[in-house]
Amino acid sequence: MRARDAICWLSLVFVGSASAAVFAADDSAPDVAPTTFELRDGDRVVLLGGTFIEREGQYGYIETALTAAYPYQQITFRNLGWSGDTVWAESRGVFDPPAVGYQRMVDLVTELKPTVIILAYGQNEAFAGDAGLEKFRQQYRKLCDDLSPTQARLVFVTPYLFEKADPPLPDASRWNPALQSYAQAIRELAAERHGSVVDLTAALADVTGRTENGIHLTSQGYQRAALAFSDAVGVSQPVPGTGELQQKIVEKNTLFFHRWRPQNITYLFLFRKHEQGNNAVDIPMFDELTAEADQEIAKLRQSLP
Amino acid sequence: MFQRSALFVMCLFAPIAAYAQRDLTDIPVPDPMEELKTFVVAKGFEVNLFAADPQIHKPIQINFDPQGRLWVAASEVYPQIAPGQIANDKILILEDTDGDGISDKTTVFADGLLIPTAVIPGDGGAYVANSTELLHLTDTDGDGKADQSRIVLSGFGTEDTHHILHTFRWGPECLFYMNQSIYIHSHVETPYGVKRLNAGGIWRFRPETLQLDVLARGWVNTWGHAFDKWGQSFVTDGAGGEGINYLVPGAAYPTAYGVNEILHGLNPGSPKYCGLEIVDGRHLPEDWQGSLITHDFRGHRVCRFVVSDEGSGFSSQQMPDVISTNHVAFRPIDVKQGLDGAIYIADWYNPIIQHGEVDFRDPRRDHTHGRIWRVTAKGRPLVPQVKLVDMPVRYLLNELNSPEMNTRTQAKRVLKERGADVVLPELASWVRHLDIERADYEPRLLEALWMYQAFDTVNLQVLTELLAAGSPQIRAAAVRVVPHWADRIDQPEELLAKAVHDEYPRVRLEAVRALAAIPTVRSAELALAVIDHPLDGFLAYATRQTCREMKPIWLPAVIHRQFNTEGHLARLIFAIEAAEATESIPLLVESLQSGELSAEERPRLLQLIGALGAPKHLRLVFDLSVAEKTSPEEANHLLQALIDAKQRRNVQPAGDLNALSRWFQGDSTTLKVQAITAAGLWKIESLKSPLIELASRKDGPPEVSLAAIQSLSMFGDAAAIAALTQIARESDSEPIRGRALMELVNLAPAKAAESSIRWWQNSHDTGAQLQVMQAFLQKKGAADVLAAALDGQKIPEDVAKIGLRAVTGSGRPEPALSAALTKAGGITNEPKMLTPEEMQALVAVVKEQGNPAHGEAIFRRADLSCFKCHAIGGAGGKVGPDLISIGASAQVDYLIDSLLLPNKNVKEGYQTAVVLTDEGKVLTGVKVRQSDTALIIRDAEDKELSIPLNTIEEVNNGSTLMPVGLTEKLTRAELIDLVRFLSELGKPGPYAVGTQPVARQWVGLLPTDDSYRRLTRTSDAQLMADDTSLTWALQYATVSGELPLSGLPTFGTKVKLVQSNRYVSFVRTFLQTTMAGETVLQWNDVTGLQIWIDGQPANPATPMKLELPEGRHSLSVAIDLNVRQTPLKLELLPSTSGAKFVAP
Repeated sequence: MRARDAICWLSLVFVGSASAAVFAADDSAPDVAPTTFELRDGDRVVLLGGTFIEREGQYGYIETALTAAYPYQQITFRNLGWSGDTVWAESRGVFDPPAVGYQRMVDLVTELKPTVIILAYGQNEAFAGDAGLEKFRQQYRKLCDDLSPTQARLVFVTPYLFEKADPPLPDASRWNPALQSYAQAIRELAAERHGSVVDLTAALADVTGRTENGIHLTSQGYQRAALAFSDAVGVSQPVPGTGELQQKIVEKNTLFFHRWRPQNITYLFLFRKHEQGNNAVDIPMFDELTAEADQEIAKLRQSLP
Repeated sequence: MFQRSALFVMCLFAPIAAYAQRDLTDIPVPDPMEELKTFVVAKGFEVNLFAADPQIHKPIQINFDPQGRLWVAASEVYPQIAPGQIANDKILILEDTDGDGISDKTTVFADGLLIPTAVIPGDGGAYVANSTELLHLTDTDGDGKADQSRIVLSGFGTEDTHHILHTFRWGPECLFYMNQSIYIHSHVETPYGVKRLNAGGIWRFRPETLQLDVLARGWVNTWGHAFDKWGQSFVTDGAGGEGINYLVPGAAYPTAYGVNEILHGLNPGSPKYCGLEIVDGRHLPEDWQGSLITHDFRGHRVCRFVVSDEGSGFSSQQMPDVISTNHVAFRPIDVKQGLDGAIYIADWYNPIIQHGEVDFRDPRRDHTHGRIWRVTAKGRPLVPQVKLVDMPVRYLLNELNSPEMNTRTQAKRVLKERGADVVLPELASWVRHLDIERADYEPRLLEALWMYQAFDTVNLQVLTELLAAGSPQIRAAAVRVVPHWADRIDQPEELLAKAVHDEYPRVRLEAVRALAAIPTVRSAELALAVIDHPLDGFLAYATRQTCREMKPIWLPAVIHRQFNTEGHLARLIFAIEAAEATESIPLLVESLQSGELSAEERPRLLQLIGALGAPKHLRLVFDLSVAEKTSPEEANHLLQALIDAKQRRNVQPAGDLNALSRWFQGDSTTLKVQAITAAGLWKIESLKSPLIELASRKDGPPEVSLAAIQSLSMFGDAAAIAALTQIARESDSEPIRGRALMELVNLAPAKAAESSIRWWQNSHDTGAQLQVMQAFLQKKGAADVLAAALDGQKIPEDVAKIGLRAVTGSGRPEPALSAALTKAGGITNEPKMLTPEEMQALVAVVKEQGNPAHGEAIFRRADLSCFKCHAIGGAGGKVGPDLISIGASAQVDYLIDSLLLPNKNVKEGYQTAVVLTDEGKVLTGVKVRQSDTALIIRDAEDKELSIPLNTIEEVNNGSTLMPVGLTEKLTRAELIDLVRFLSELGKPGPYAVGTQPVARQWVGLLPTDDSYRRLTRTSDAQLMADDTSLTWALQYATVSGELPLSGLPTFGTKVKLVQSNRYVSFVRTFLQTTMAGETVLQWNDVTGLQIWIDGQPANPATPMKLELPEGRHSLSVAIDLNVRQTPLKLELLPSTSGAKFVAP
């Protein structure tokens, strides 16, 4: 999807202007980034990353935990995860080189006017090992620079460790030293950028029985990750009775998925739009449906026990 | 006769109906029995309805489970989910519980899916393609419905819903295969890293370890993949035109990006095929064993092919159709053989196919129907039922001996799911007890090898035994296993040391590909030994591919002199050439200087140095090219290598190059042209004056002047501009003036515009006019300069029309130039549009009154140049799509639209790319492919242009190359006939391209002065082989395969070569044989023919049996028009030489 075709969803939902706090520039970065963060009324949260974030959209545990942590605050989430993604946006080139997909991603995030961006990179990049670490660090910095015009607060998620799965699956834990190095680089970057850290590397250091295949979380794994997010915002208990809320969140994410990553984009928006581009009128209709789902989510969170 | 424009009212602002298939008002009655009645079924076979709506709807893929139940992936949501719609697509299981050949039980295994494009049962459930994901669904409580869903892999692209993950297959070794189509970009996280595949290809996957890799790539819509009984893969393409494809592991096929070389299918000029199954077993007659069944889903046909060995690859021959019909909703898209031996066909049942050309929401798009047809051989017993699922392991192992490949594959699936612990001990015992004396010993042992591979358990003993099997196909299959176990075998490459010298070429091919996966120097050494033996197309490709992939392995070894070629320098040359290994040039130079090279090696090495070397290496080639002892032929080769080096890599020989002028003199025009070209490319200042002199000479050969003009323009300075301006104004040869103007456009556009307009007032050479117009369009900004210069000027109307044609060919609107040309040429016509009512009326008239035979004659008319861009069955231009089955896929209104408004519907892959280069050139064409170094496009003149990537600044999408205003040349009656002809193409009947190979592309000898001179002076038959002074022009056969005699270029005077009167035509076609052997030609009639094969007279007879060596052969025919009126038709009968007609 071309970024310009993505219209921002927020004006339909939010009345008051965004309370995006503008941080005073501070030349001296703290040594350690805080491992807590808070969400505020009116926050618009965008999630970026690979399969971990993409599947979170389908499980909804993290988003549900954060929504339930603020039952009376108007906070919305937009999940832009894409399998296999990296800080170079390698999965987002579509018909273009990754650099073009990268710019499209930055534009899309910008148009979504986020006040908080949750960044979960490092896992796929770590396959390159120590040799790739410096390039990763530089590119992650560039990504932060390119996202900085949004003035959003940045939350850096460090990668969880991989599991030594039962044979015949390979031992994915052999990547763990690399994941640790990348996690450390992310912690340092978070400090440098005055962001917060959700340290999944620590919280999910023991992934035994929490991955499908050594590298992707099961629903138990996501629950553990969600707990880490709850901890980070200071609500250390998982909220009971979130079933209906979670279901609605997943529904909302599916609607938004059809909005920002619709099937058939070749015909709808790209080089064959002269044939079936007229059908693209359907796509912005998902905005309204997504906004409606947001309102239903709002009702559900307020009626949580 | 009235002009069309008088009838077609222009209504620019009328709303254009969104429906591209307007005339599809006759939606057939969806009664399956009515559909069945229309089927024409292969002799000896019958068809029954296995299942239909409402039990099933819109089947996309079907696959059997070991119980014999048929699993169906079905989608009502396709092509696009609507806002607010809940995705509820299904996986269905069909069961024939009473064995009467009709499904009597339907289970909804899963619902809530989004356009599931594939399903295959396995691993206790079923794998399903669900948009971005590969899911595994299981029924854990035994109620027949899946209650657990696991994402196995995710990150598959969804850019087009008929391209998304599809065509699931279990391989003979229980690996999982799945395909994606050209628009798909996938990024899949695995424990081994992220696997990416941008564009089409076939994935190979081991679910239990998540090992995922790409087996082969390219193609457009790889909607068919099947294995033969030896594990060889074949592929069909639902948007390609090359029929059956033989898959070489790791190869790239048409549409692969970033590659230098691609492989092609076995039946070029075919319609698009969907689905593929290889059938065999006791139920089917002998001549159907191993047949490939696929679908011409556009032409409503189920087709059958037979492949046979041809060198390292295969040749493929089409057989009579299995089913054909005119029923517009019959859309066979998948095919599988059941365990009963019958052939099951998934009929997607839709009058409208796909969603590129027809609106997503078109109300006539069928979302509810679907059928499974079952084809059986009349009077032949079905294969007896076996209950594989409940069978003890030792009996299952015996099923590996089944005569049905399907049963063996399912038995292996069941064994695999029983688990290694249970099966391996019994497998070992089964292998021990196999009777070595039995004829089927080796095939059974191969099944055992595959079983070991299924469990990923190395069995060196079985492997080693089969690598030395008596059957070459089995040796080839065993070779393919080696790399999978290479990490657990000591020196695995040694296992292939014999295979690279195997007498059977496919074993060598498999070996050279297997070695590519074993990254050692020894492995590369062995792979290169393959080139000691003859290389056919597939084998040469496979070897070059291995050289490219292994370059990081062998190149350092070569440079450090640790690479053993066993004294065969040719091996090294081959590898360096294939991998363009520039780094090895110093070594080559050393070999050259050592003087130890053979006569064959030396020129090849020099060319290689020219192709890859640095300036100091090119200097060596240059010195040799101008040396006293060098013959003109050799100098020619060497200069060509140097010119290539400059043009492709921008590298030229070091030092003073004045010696080049040596070749400005002499007899050889070719060499002179080469030297002149080089002088320009290298900008040798001292040679500028001689070039001006050569360019201005009026008495010399025109090619010399043309080359000199081009070279002069390379200097681009004031002297060159002055000389070119003078030539452009004063030369009395129009081609030369045209060429000078073209060059001037680049250097001084305003001067060029002024001189051009002056020239156009009195010019007649339309070719030169077009080229000059194109030059203005290719230079950034020059079109506007010309437009400005045309202001207030008059040019002849015909010249203006040529200009407008060039604008169309540019793929850009260029409004200023179009307006200026229209005004200066006094043109008044504008493109017309039809109202919906007019369209409806026209569609009706086409159907009632259109005459396809007249239409074909109009299609062939020279002034329309249809063949220049469009082929029918492979014969014709490649600028536009092959029209072989256009009538079966496109509706009449779509065809009319395409003729009147070419930009309205542009076929996938035929949008133009508009390329801006760093020199300010603007080149337009259809993208052919892109390699690591160059973008290759095909321009409106059907020429391929290779544009180095590092010179490209920008690539934009342009419009179509199909000319607007084509129909201006037609009367209304002619348009009606032409549309009718197009609408018949591919439908069963006289306008379906037949299955027998027939010569479709000919060239006819033009009666030029040179040809007359040669033909009246000599009777030497060799003239018919390769005389370069003869000029030939393309001639195409009709759809029925006949070459009409009217319209052929004809010699009106007596010629010496033929003992006849006046009026003779000479035509020629070409054959390619892949091995020495018998080739059998069949002529419709040999009356009035004289025939030469490679310039040797042959006795006209039919059938005509020839013994031809391997290679390309010309087949020339003189037709005495005094005694012959019947058109010429030439067919190839099955031949041992693998002969094929090839393009002239």
